[in-house]
Amino acid sequence: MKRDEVEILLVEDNPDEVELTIIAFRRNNLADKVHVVRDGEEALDFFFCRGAYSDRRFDTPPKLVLLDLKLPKVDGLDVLREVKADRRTKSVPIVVMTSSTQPRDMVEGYQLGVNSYIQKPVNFDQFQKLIKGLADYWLVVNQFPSPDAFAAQNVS
Amino acid sequence: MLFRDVPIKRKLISVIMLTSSIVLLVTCLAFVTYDLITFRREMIRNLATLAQVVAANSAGAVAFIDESEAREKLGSLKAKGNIVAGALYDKAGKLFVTFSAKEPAQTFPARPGVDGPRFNEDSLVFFEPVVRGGQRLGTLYLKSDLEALHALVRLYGGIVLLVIASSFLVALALSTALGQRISQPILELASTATAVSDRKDYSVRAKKYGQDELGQLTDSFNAMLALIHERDVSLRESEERLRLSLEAAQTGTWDWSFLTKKLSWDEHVYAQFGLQRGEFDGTEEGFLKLVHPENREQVRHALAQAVEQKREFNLEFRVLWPDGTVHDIASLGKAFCDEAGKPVRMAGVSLDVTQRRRAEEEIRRLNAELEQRVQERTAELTATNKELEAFTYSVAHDLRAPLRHVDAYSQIVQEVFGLQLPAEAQKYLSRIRHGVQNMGLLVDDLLSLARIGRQELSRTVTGLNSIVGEVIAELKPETRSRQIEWQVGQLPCVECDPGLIRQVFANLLSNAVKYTRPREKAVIEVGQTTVNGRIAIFVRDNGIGFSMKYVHKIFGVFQRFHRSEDFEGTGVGLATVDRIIRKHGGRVWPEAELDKGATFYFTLSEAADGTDTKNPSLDNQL
Repeated sequence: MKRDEVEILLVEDNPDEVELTIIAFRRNNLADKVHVVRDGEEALDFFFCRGAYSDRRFDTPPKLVLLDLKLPKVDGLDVLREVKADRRTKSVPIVVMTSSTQPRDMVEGYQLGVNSYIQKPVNFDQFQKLIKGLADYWLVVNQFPSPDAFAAQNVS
Repeated sequence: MLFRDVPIKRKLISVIMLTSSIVLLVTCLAFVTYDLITFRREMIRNLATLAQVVAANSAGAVAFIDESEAREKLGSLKAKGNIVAGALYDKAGKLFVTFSAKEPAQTFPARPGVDGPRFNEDSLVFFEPVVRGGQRLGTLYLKSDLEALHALVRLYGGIVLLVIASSFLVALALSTALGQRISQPILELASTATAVSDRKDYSVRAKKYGQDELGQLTDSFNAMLALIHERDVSLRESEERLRLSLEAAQTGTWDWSFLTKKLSWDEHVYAQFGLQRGEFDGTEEGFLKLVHPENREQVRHALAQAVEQKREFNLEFRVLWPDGTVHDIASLGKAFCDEAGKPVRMAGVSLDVTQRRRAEEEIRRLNAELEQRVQERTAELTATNKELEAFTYSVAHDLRAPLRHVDAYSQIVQEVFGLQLPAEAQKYLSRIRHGVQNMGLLVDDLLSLARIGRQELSRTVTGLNSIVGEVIAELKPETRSRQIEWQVGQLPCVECDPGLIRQVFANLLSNAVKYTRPREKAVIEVGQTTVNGRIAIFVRDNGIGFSMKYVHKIFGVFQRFHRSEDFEGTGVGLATVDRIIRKHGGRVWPEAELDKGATFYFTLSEAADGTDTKNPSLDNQL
């Protein structure tokens, strides 16, 4: 998978979470479109096309980012803050997925411009349905401008 | 001595004596005069009669100028003791015969006088014409002495003197006795008045002698005395009380004359300033020197103000004792003015309030200390609560992820390797997943319970009917297969946190649904009632109820009244309800009977002071 073909970015440090999420995507035949970064710093490198991701381009953003909040190095909300503060990256849809919702975090997330905020259900069946729903919505239903349109906008 | 200065008794006697004497005298004179006049007339008539008789007898002798005959006729007059002389005059008026009763011989008038009687100095004379045949022959002269008249006058004089003397004595006796009666009450009043004015003894009373005007005067005087006595006694008593209370309160009194510029103190004030009598010079400057330097200007100003504006002086200040200690004095005074409105003096009281000040300061200090300690404890408690909540939250949060993993992997094993597993292994896998689901619910409930403690209430006016309607709709999946009669009455609109109150109804209604499961037909009622004057909302069911024996446990976390295989649940729901209601300042309580059903009541504002809502962190018991 070329880095510019990443449609779904999973920001998650817990290997079990990664594995189960990948399983859920796989069961929806979307696993090959998922790229995983394991901490906040790597996530920011990915977004801003730097470090290991310097070969990426801003005009081919992922169609969906699943962001955990408790992350090593840079916290999930800080990742959100930086991404949503930069005009090159702020249009990327970011969905926060946490084990439990904390009102304060939720309020801050929305104020920073998060696109959706989801609590992962305990029941794995429900989790799989949730993943399918998310993929259906953001990858199929939701409309996004083409890279060219984006580039034109950015230039102007 | 002037009459007005004569004692009243003698005045009375004199008046009576004088009056009675004058009356007697006048009366006697009138009688005597009348009698004497009558007596004289009688004398004249007698003499006239005698003269007529003698004249008639002597007519012949006169006609014939028969001297001896005439002498004989006149000689018969001797028998009349009072006749001293007699004479006959002839027709020409010439004396021709005389008669004298006694020696020496009388003088006779040379010529007869006018006919009729005439009183001389010591005699009565009478001239009677001697007539015969209508022709005047001569004149008869008779002279009578006044001895009888004089004897009568003497007698009357004696009688009058006697009467006046005796009546004077009687009048004196009477007036003395009567005067005593009249003067006695007056003298008594006078002596009583003297006693009152001399001895200031208002307890004496004048003796009353009768019901007359003097009696009334005595009564009035005594009543006046009684009133004065009463006032005097009560004045004395109140003075005594004042003195006692001043004494008891160790209150000093002071008096500052503006005329003499002298401030005088009683012994209490000296004591309050730590001085011996005589150690204070009585001047204003001397006084101000005793006042603590920091209060001096304030005291000077307050005194000047009180004098200038003629109002009260009321100040607490500190004084410096000779031994260097500082004492608090409270002083209250007032300026007094003369008729012209000019302040002449100022007087007042003072009190040593050092002990009181110190006690007050001690109380203030203790209060502050207590307040400080309460604040510290509250802060500690709040911090501990916050930590506890944070801990609860993160534990619940961190528990959730592994739970999800256990469930997910178990399911994957079931799905992927299910066919290869023995039936028993499959069953255990189901048990694992069941346990995980329960634990998930528990963690979720704990999270929401912890969240209530952390969350601020956001109150808005909310119609409870709509909330109840929504909750009932949400319970549809559980109630679809059951026969449940919902009786939802008219519920009020209240100011509350709608999200939290929704949780309350969700818990209470799902409990009601759950515990009526054994009933063929469940009846669940939601309504409002009044308890102790406050509106209370209730949720009633006809379910299995519980024994009120355990009522004290029902709102505790993890308290369950039923076996989990009968009724699922985490034991957190009612604790959450309790937490939410108390956060609103209300109260929740159940009424239940085993096998008959249960009713849960709640109010949203129980405590009028709203302490629960002010200190939400204090009621967290998790």
